[in-house]
Amino acid sequence: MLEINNLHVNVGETEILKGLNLKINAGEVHAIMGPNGAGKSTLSYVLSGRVGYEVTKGSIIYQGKNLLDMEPEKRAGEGIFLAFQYPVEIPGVSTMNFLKAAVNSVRKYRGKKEFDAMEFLKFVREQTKILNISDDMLKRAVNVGFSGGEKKRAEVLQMAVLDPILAVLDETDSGLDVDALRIVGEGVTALRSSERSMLVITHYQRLLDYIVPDVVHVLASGKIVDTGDKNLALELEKNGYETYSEAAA
Amino acid sequence: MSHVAEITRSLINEQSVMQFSKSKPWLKSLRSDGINAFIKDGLPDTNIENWKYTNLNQLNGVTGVRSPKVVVNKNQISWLLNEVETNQLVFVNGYFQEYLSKIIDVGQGIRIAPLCDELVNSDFIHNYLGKIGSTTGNPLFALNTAFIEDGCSIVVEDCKSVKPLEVIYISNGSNATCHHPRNIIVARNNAEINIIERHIGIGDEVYVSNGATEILAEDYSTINHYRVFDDAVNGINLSSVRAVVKDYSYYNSFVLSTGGRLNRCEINVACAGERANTSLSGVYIARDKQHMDHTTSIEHLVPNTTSVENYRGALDGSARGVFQGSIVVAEGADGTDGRMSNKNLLLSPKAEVNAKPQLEIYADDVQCAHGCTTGELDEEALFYLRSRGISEKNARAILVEGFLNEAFSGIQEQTILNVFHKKIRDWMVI
Ligand SMILES: Nc1ncnc2c1ncn2[C@@H]1O[C@H](COP(=O)(O)OP(=O)(O)OP(=O)(O)O)[C@@H](O)[C@H]1O
Ligand SMILES: [Mg+2]
Repeated sequence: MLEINNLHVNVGETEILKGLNLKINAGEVHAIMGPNGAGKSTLSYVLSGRVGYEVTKGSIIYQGKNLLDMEPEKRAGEGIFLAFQYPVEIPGVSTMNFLKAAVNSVRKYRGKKEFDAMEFLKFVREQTKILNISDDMLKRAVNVGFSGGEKKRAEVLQMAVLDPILAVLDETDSGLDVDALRIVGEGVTALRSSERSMLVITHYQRLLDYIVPDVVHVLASGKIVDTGDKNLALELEKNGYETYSEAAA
Repeated sequence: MSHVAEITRSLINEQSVMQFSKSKPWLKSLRSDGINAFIKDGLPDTNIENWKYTNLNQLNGVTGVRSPKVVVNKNQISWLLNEVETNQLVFVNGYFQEYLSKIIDVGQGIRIAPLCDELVNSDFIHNYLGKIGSTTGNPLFALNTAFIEDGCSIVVEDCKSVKPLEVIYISNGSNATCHHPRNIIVARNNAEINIIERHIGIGDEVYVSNGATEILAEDYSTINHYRVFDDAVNGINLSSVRAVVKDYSYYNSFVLSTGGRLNRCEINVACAGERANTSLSGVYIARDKQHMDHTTSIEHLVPNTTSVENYRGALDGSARGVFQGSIVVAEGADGTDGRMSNKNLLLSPKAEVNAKPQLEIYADDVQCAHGCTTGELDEEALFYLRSRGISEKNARAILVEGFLNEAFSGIQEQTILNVFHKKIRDWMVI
């Protein structure tokens, strides 16, 4: 489903990803862990097509297509979703209108009928209930004045309504209290299916208690330096990344 | 001779041959004041501080001739507020059109009429007309005063149940003629009124609409004044509002400028009574070579008055936006709270904005703040929207719209808010 080969990425003059390889099959959940500054968010931005992230070498093949040729909106239409580590605030744009514009854009792209206002309301309410998101929050401007936890829940809501094929979650668990973590963890787990793959970037085992990964990778200094099963995450939490920084250097 | 001086002369010449059939002595003397003040000052040029960024050389070719009476068809008119019952008034080239209008509120405390009727029927309007605004140092207001003939006259006392007024001003340009609609809006003694004005133009010839409005809100009254400037492509719309707000009263202004070649919208408010409040909100959106100038001044004359001002602009093409806002706190006006904000988005490298905020404070215990910013669309927000499947074009439109809509967050009436939002959206998709 996703195949990343020897990916090199520059941000400005600096090379951040230095020959990254990663293969994800349909329906699999992969976790990526790694020290601060390793390039995890960089990878997530490259997958979603942010400008300023220059691929100097390597390839990303997604569902048999060259992902790097696609504009960000096209990638979303094709099923790529990124839950941002730092969701962006958009003053003046209500969350509800934003969600509706997004959902109808991808529905149109996928050849489905667009929702009218009533249909959309019904559709979105099914998800907000699960994620404990109030109608009041939907009326407010996108992420403006949201608490850290609210922002992350809003990201998961977007993921749910956009029905992705590959969801990349960049530290969706950071800044959450115990209850919010449970809501997010269960919300994401509910979205697992045999057609949907996930790439979960995290620093902590606690999210992986809910979303049990099929594969765990360690990203250090711009490369995948280790790969294992779910037990690798437990080891990392105990031992840290010290051995890898030596290996990468 | 400069263009400006030339136009000044042509406007005066025209005035000198003007005939008014139904003048009363007080009205004649009011018009003479206007003529004299205009002759003295002439049209402002860019050496005048308030006109630094707007050059009236653009009036070059304007004849000064009074726009003719023309007839407009009913089917050329559409009302913005069609879901609620409203008083409807239509003016074409400044002349009231009875057959297109519908005044439904008559009775105790409500007096809505075309000014031309008020000028002939009684001396009632003499109590207000020319007494709120001053011709001194306001040449365009003076010019308007010289030509007082018709407009909208609304006086409401002790009445909160007046239906909203929707007023349409249509300019039908031919041969670069001018018209000078004069309006008066008074709310006294616990009155409240909502007025929505729309300025539109027919055809693509040059015209000049030089409107002036005098406003008085006193004794626990509220005036909500909504205006949409949607002039035709070569329309020139100059307008001056002078408002006096007295004890425990509100003047709230919401202006949206989208049309015309040149739009100068000047608002001048005096908070002149205890606990007087004013809020001025505005949005200007321009493209091609449009020029839009919003110039405001708020005077806090007595203690404990408040003002809030929020203007936003988006400029595309080679358009130019001007915002000048001044807050003056007079000596002794302690407890004043005045806040001004102006934010601009430049959507093209050739677009331009001149923003000039000004605070003059002569009292001690005051809270005043102002901020002006000019920038481009937030790339991060743009990427965020696109990553959700929204096309770049739509994402830009959503961001600009959201940015502009913030200026109107103070609109309480949902139907009117919807009208403003829709106008902004329509501009985006052109
Ligand atoms: N715009 C930029 N300009 C310069 N350097 C950048 C830029 N963006 C990221 N970097 C650098 O790239 C490196 C990788 O950043 P990235 O955000 O991908 O790390 P991360 O693995 O997600 O870290 P964290 O765990 O802290 O989120 C860091 O050293 C960072 O400073
Ligand atoms: Mg990161």
